Amino acid sequence: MLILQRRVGERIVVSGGVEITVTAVTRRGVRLAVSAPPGVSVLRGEVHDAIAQANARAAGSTEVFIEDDSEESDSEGEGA
Amino acid sequence: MIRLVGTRFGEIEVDESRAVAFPRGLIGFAEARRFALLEPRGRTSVAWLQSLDAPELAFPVMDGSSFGQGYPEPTPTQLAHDAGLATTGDVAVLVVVAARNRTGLVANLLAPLVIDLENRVGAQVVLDYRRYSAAAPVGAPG
Repeated sequence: MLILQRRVGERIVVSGGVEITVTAVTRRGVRLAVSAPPGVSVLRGEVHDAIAQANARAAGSTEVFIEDDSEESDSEGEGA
Repeated sequence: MIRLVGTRFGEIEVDESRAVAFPRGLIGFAEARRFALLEPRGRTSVAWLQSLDAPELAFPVMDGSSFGQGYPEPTPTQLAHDAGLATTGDVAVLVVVAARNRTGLVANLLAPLVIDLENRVGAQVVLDYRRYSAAAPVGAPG
């Protein structure tokens, strides 16, 4: 992990296309401005995590959506 | 023709031209980049986005229009543009859903899948988190 010290107005450039600028530092937190090309998603960490969790939960939701008529019990072959 | 033995639907065949590419994967699932949309049979409105890379991976999805006329905001075309999908044609919006209990489900309205139907390329986009939930309760699929 790279740890950098930045002052207000200073930037970090990632992969040549993503720029993160410190715009304010207060007692409540740090304010950042992020500019990125189209197609590069910039998310708050907790929003990213909530979506990843929702995706994982969806991928784990199986039987609930599969109707019981799937006939998988007597497909071809015998105990293949 | 892509042949796949999935863990949910057994052996399926997907015409190459029907596959949908997600170049950046889905959020938290960056490695799964090719999918097939398996449409529902019968009266269920839940379809499946089956990974063509990982047989065990499939996401239940519903058409975005199931969630009201105003959904999503901004418009699908705008979302596709913002996601870097260079589309001039139709854009589909799918919402990933998950089971809540035997009768209900939750919909990830915060991060729908936007698909450029012309080029069959999609992306999971993120809307305003103050407005949309990643786990909005909805009724039974019907």
